[in-house]
Amino acid sequence: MFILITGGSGSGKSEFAEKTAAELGGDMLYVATMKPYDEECVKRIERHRKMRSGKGFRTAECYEGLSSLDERADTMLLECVSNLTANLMFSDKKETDPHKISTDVLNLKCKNLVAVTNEISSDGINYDGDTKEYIRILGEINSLLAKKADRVYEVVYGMPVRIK
Amino acid sequence: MRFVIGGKNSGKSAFVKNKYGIADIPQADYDTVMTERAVKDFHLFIRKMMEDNRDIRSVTDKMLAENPDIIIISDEIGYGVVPMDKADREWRECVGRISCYIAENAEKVIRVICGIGNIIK
Repeated sequence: MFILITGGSGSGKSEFAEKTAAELGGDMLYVATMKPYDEECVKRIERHRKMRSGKGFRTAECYEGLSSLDERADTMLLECVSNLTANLMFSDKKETDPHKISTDVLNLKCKNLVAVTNEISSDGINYDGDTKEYIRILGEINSLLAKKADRVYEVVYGMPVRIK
Repeated sequence: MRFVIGGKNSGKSAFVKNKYGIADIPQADYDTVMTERAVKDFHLFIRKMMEDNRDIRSVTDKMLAENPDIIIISDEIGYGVVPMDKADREWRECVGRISCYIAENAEKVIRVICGIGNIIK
């Protein structure tokens, strides 16, 4: 079972994703992609850790190469594809191939995968350079993942709307 | 007429190509909107009409009269903070208003997220 969860910033994706993963159950692994590179990130990570605590997740930190993640689990919760993509694009790896990135997500060694991504492309601002490229690549990854997903949800202010 | 909306790079064109069997979708401009089966980037065409000081509503009405089965693809651009630039603000507002008008007249409105189309009207 592969479930993709998208939505705007602060829409309650994580909470819904955790609930969804817990329902799928078994041995659960949370794959964290956020690099703790400044205070804001550290706070965000801490908030998510608190939210997850006591829910039975193990945690693996994986900022870039999902293919080298040596973990197996019944259910994995990947949070989040947008972060992972930014890490890959702007690291030394400079990985910008949407097919490679989405394939690595789909090849995680688990029976059930819940992946969180982000809606970032409806603000009407005409970005250039790296940001424009990031929006394009993430857009393509999202479409590739959604195509393979058994279910896709858009979370709107805590309300999951099933779109596939 | 069908109206296909969604964020930038959300997979709208691929969705339309697939669903309606269209090989190439041209940019919306004064000519293509009157004759083509499907056009993309209608939001940018609105900007062009604004810059040309054209009456957008009458161009839209002409399009709907001359090409009543057109599939219009347009970005949703109203989900961010108010733009700093006056022209950007006017454009965003205008895209919103014209999109409401097009949606009102559309037989179907499809919103695309992650390449998946959902009929919202």
